[in-house]
Amino acid sequence: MGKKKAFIDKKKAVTYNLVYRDPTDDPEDEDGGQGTLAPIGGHRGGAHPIPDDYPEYYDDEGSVYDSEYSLAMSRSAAAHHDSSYSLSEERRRELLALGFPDDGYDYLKHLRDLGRGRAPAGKAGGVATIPEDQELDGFDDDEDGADGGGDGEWQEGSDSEEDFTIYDQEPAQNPNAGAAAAAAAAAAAAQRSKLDAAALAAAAAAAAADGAGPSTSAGGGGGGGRAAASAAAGPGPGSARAAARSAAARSIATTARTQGSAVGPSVYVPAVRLVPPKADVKVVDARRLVVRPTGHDEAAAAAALTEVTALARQTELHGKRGKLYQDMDEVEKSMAAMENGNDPNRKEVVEGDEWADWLDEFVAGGGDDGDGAAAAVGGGRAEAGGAEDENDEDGGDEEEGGGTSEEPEEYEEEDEWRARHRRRQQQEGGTAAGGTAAAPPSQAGPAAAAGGVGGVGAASVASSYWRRPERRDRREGFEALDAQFERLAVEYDDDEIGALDDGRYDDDDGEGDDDDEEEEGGAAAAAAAAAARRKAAAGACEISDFADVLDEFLSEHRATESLEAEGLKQLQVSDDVALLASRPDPEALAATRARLQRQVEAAAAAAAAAGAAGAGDDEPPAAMRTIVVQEAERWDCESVLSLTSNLENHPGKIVEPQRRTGGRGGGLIRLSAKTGMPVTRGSVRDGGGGGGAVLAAGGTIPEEGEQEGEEGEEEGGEDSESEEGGSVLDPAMLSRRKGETAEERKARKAAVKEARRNQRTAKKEMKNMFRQQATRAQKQSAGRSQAAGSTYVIP
Amino acid sequence: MASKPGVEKAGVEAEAPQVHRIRITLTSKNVKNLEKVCADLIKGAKEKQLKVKGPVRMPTKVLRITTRKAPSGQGTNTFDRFEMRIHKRLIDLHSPADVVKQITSISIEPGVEVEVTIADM
Repeated sequence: MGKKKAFIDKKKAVTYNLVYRDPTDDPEDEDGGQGTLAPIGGHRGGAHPIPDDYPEYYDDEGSVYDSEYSLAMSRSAAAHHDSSYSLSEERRRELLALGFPDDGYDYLKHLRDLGRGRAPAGKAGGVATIPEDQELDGFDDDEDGADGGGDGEWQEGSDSEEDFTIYDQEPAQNPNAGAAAAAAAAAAAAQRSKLDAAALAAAAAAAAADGAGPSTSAGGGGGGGRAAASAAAGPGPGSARAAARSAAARSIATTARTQGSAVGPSVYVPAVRLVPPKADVKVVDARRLVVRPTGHDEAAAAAALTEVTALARQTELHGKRGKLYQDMDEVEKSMAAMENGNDPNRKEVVEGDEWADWLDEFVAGGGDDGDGAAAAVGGGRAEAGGAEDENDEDGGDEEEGGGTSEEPEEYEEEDEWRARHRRRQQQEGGTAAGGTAAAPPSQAGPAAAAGGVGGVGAASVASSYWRRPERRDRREGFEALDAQFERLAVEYDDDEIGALDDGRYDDDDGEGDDDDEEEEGGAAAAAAAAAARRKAAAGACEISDFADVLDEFLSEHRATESLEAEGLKQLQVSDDVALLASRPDPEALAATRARLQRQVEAAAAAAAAAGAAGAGDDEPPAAMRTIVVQEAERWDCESVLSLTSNLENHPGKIVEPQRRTGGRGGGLIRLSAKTGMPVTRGSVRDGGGGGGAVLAAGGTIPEEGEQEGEEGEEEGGEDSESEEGGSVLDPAMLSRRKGETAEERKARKAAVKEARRNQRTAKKEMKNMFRQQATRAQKQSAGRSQAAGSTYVIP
Repeated sequence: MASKPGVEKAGVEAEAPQVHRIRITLTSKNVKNLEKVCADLIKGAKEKQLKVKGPVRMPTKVLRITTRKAPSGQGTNTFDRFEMRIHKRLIDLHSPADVVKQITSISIEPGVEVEVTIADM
């Protein structure tokens, strides 16, 4: 029989591949699934065999992925409708040349030219495409870095509009003529190649006005590339240059690529005319800067030197001078105090009290000092900028923490932190917080000490339980919480804390009270009542309280048991989909109905029995709302067969037995002459291997035959033979025992020989018998042709 | 007027979507995921009352690589036997194309490659 019509004709079918699609990618698609069907190119049309015939798997894969990529590329390119994102051929070619993958994404927008700085925000940014002809020329446009110093008109702002080019050599030109022409060129500002000339021309004009000869011309040459060449040649700038550019100029660097987003030249261009920089003088109030105490090692001191930099913020000297002086005095005093106590030996538990005192004072904000400190802190904060605020808070908190809980091992940590803090402050250029925090307490000193301590004492009891490093930054908030907690703790301080008003335990209390009162005195009764209440609070209760819970459980358990007895399981939440998937079919419905019926009857019987017993807790099972669904899956033959593992199951098709020689009578079942069994292809194949089986199968027949033919004589012999024939395979005979004497060995070998002899005779007999049978069968089937095989007639 | 019945007819035809023969081929190295995706697809298809056949399990292809363990030639000749099993399942459906798209877009497991072949009718 031929192959039935294939389910899908591959030549006329379209194949799609399921591709993961990023849900953020195409929001317009409605199904919102994770995958999308991406059509594979038409190569699948007829070139590959049908999957039923086990096609070449990897060939398909390779081609699939190729097409996926191309599809992805076209898709992503289409997704971006922005003009700057579209991949022109040029851009694409450049991408490929740079080695970026060809997937439709413009990687060049993440690149920038060296020395150019970031792309300006307005532009598309990134690297501009270099047209091919330009690539080989080198960089075309030039940039003028030399003239920037002297001219006011040429500012950095102009960079964004204009491009500059640096030329390699300049042909000798007349500066003046060039200047005039360049001035005209300057009017047309937007031109790429001309504007540089304009700027240069302006510079050159200025230079020419000065009259300095070679240097100015070289300066006009400006951007002019080589210092030596420009100095020597002294060419003129201007439109002549523009002309010259096309002629022989070769430029070194250009801003054209990034549309002039330059911050500086990409190539070092030595300035031809040295212009001193603008006066860079700032007045810094060094008193605000805290230099690290000299007690530290030299490295730290050296580092500290560099921290007083030119970038330090300028301070107003005249505004709050008086205030500054005061503050600085305080700072100095406190610093002296700290250094003296702090420095040499850190293990000393020194100045803990002092720290505590003035820190507390600072926190409490007691008196003018506190306000002053707060104001100064505020001012300092405003000065130092936002980033310092956190530092200040940390510093304040840290110092509080340092005051409240004094544990020796934490001093090191604190000092380190303080040093770090100071460093930070120095960098920012203000030590407002640190300095002023230190200032007022030292001033207030002993006067506010007691008050400070007392004021902060209430919160600190709980605060002392904190571990210092973790809660430094949230100290302030926690202070309030601690105060609250202390108050609450005071409330809960009495022994009657376990008293409950719950009605549940009232009975117990009452009973306890009654009993106790009868037996003992009143005081004892009260004590016992208290004890009972406490026990109740601790969770002790009688088991009888939970009687209804137990009953519920029992009934449920009975229900599940009954269900399981029927082989069905309860519907879980996860079975919901199964419920949906399997349509209710009539026989399942009928079965369910029958079962429910039985349940109801059983419930009625149980209820009757239970009613007699008086246990009313049982819910009638009919009221149970358990729904049991039998999973009825529809299988077809292919699926069922395919359930078995492929390791063992190698399915073959069952075909009709085909006769090789062409059918000619005799029916479909033929018995083989030898065995008398019907001949199938299997038996023919296994003829060699299954000799043993055949022998065993055929063993019955000769016995029959022999019983028929030769009954009396050889029976005894036969039996003995058959007994001994089996003994060749007898493991007892075949295996050698460990300690064997010579006689035993002889006996064993003799026995084996005997067995073999018997087997040989038995085999010969069997062979003879078969031959006889075959000839007999042939005689019987003499009328029929040989080709039809021989049938063995069993009488 | 002549165009109207044509239009209506087109509309009627569009309403009853054409049912295609669709074969979904699932391949994977991971049987568990593959079976899960198969089950999901068939469940989805049955929910939509489609005629489903399958999953038909193709024989597993086992790709074996037997290499010598030793980096050099010295030593007893011990071999590492690596194998990769590729499982393949087929599901046949009769359904309109968009329904299939919905079904396949729902359940995706990593490592399972899904191919959908639609017979043009």
